Amino acid sequence: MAQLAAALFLALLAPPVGVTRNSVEICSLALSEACHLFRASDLDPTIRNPNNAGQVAIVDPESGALVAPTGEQLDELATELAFEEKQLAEAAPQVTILPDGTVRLHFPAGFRTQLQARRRDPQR
Amino acid sequence: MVASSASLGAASIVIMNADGAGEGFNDATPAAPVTGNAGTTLGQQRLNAFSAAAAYWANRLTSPVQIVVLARMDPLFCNATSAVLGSAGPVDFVRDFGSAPRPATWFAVSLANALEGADLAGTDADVSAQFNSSLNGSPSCLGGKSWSYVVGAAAPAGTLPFYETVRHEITHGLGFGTLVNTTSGARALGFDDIFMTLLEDHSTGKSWPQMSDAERANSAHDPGDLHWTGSLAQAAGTGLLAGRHPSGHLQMYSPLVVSPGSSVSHWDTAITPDEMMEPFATANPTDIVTTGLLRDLGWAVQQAGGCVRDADTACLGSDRFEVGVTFQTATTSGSAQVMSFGGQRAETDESAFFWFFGANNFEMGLKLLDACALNGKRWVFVSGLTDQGWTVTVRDTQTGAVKIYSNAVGHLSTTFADTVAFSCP
Repeated sequence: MAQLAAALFLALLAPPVGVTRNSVEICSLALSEACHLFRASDLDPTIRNPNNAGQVAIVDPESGALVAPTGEQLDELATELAFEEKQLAEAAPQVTILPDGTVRLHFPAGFRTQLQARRRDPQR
Repeated sequence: MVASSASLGAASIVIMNADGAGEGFNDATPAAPVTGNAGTTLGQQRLNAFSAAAAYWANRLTSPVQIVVLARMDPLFCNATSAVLGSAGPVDFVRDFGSAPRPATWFAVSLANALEGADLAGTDADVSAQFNSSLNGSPSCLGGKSWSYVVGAAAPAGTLPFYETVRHEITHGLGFGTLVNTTSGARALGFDDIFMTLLEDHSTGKSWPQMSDAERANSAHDPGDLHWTGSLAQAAGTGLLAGRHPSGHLQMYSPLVVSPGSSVSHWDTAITPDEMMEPFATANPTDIVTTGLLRDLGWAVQQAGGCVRDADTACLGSDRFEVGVTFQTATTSGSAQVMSFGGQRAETDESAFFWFFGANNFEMGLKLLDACALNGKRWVFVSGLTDQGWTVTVRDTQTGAVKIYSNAVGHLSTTFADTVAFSCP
């Protein structure tokens, strides 16, 4: 259903060819409001705040002050959780041949890579 | 008339929020703003972090065709010990389009659009992405884990970084991955995909297109020997501390037990510093070679900055860094000029020489080095053969950051090294 709604919406969008500036546009299929256009540089944290990009801040539980994290804290997530990506096996893709000879392989729900997480030690 | 795929030097990503009113990206639950994310509802924070991840690529890739990402947050599988975090991928692959650089080869549709300069997906979105809205701290879901919607800083310890996760998954949607069945080795409908054409198994010396299905299946679980051979990622990876073969090839993830979805379609976990397209979440992942891999696939990237060369301006670091020099004597001052040797500007991507008083008289110079793989910084070294005063201004046209270095009148120039001059990337 969302795919169909997206298709109808895309058909109403301005012609998608002719990009001249970096932008991110947010549109809602359900809410009847205009799309919101942003300059990508205003959103990208690696440009917006390059000196802090990736910087880690941890609050010291005793003093309440911001301190640098320990290696243990950085690794905590990876220690707690095991991550795995899987290829989703969904319905067979549809093949269509466009008028110019291009062959299109269509995955109705996307050729998706699914990220999963599992607790390594559920007793913790 | 169709725009040329020779790039207009920009990219536009459209996020199609497919959630209904009051749920997912439209969830109106009040939320306190967090670092880098001023949203005051859960839905706003989710959308802010998602759009920041999209902006990462909008600022780097070029495509004359909008890249449309269909995005949803839904309650997906989750119990006390495991959960689906989310998924994403291309909606379409296409082959044998007019400007396809390789025949009989599948390309993710967003990349094909960029190459073709036309929208081959018709009314389809290019990328489909879905994330789990149930990761909200409930003990019944992954032991109480929740997403962090922090942007531009590390997520608090113990939380799941939404921005990094979305950026990783969108990158798959842009074509970072193979269509090959990594268990059987079979290609999609018997055709190569562009990603697999740049894979090689070092133990056999064969590229993936040269292999039989069985050989590809074996190669998918050949730890350390499955390599990326694309020249642009290799060039970007010269400074990697690990995960790079002496040949220059870069290791891909190929553990002994094949994990469809993880195996092959990620960098090896040996890559150091940790890269954003490794199969597991790491703290502060980098993009040293991932953009290079996308370029190897065919993506054009933007000129890094707006530096424009002229007689007294040098452009370093892929034209991202603008360098200007002024000089001062006891009686006069002026702009230094970029030297020429044999009619060629004395300027490379990393270095530039300047003169003050005569075109044949070298006065000072500098170099700017990409040490992102060493200490996460770009280095600036400045030196001169003069006791006249000079002031060098280096400006990062991408971030606006400026560094100024100077030598006083009457002081014989010494070499100055700034190994924390500019942040990466």
